[in-house]
Amino acid sequence: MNILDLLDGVVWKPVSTLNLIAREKPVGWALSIFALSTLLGLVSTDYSVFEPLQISPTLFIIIQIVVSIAGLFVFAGLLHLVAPLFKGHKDYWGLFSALGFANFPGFLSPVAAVLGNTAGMAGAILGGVISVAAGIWMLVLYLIALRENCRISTGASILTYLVALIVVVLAVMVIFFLLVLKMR
Amino acid sequence: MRGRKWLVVVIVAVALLSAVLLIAKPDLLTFTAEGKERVVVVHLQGAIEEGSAGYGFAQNITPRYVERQLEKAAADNNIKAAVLRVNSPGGSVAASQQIAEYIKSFPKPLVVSMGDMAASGGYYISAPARGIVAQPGTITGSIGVISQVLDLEGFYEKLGIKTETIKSGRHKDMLSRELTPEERELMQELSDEIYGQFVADVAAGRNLNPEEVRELATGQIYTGSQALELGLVDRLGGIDEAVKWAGEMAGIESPEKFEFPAPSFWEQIFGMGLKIAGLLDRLATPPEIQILNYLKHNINPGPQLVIK
Repeated sequence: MNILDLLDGVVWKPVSTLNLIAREKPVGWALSIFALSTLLGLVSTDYSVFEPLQISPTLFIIIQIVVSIAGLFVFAGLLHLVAPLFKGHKDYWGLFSALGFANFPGFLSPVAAVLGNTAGMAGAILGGVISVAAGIWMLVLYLIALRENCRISTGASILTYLVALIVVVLAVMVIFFLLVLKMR
Repeated sequence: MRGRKWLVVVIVAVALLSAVLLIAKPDLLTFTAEGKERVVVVHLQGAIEEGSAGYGFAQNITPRYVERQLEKAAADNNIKAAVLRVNSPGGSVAASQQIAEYIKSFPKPLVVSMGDMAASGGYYISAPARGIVAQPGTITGSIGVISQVLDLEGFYEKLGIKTETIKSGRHKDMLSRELTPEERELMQELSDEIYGQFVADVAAGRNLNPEEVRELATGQIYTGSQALELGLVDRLGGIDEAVKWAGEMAGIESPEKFEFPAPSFWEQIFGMGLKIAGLLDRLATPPEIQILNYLKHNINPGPQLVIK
């Protein structure tokens, strides 16, 4: 299947397509979809709020994409470690590929941003609806990606995410605490 | 499945076109004050400097930041006037002058509201505003110029650092050793020249006689109440008083206070990535290099006159 077929499948037949992606592992395409989705999300952000950062928008976007990709590697690894707790099958690159494709709804960010800022009140409402819908769509695709890759139930998939999220939040808090302590 | 591929093509094409539009017209994303006629309040907090490198959130006042905020305020038709809440001990001469230029050329009524401190450079950037409102206990004034040259030879000797100077131009190393009498005179001339600019700009901004300003410009600090008596500020009060006055200047009966929005939750999450990178960068730097960097940037910053 080419990339168009895969994206078409993610839209119309997400279960079978994400299952296929988890087995075929098109890592390069998954990485590209994820990076492009992140880029489009960043382009849709009002950069002026980051003015105090005093760095160029280009550098800012590059750093954010690199940090986001690293984040995907880490988060996929975490899900990969947590899934066996719920009797899930372990396949890191399959999961990574499926999660990458699950970011496809992020392509709607600039569409929502343009509508929200150019078409008055109706556009603002429509842009907001698109943003929320894309967020929910992405979340559902993430759950399907995990479920199909790890061959677990939907409930186990949700629990796996919750455990991984709690671990991430705790880890970030601990790292920040340690960094702040060390810098004093 | 094949018959519906058009939807994917449409999503990708519209997404890319929207992205190109957003890149070509970044102002599309700039927040505007909708509805009533408003007075924008911009907070300027910290030392005045040209800019800061690195990943961290700058906590200071830079010309670039002020320019961007005033541009946004000028471009927004619903914003009729601006209040700058200044809380600064001063800083770089050139950066203060640049900010003062931006404030002078702002096309709408602009009032400065002084916070805890608007001294020296903080006063320099306030002077060209159409009006200045200070709290009775604000620390202001300190109109003067200072430069300090540290002779670090003994300190370096203790650290075991030896420096060898090769120079072209006899005064090139004058700020890294003890000054000669001639160099002390040169530095004094430089300081006097900038002091003269400071006095002239304050006099012009406040419509005062330069001689009158010179009498006040002894480097002395004043409270807001004293500054009112001396003509360095116009009114006593807080932000609300400044907003009310700016509104009156703009002909608004009941002005509504407005602030540009802070970064959203997600934008702050994105920004956190940069903060972590900055922290890691600092931690990855060996301690001795950190000390040297600190010395380089904080103890011997090179030729610099400051107004603080």
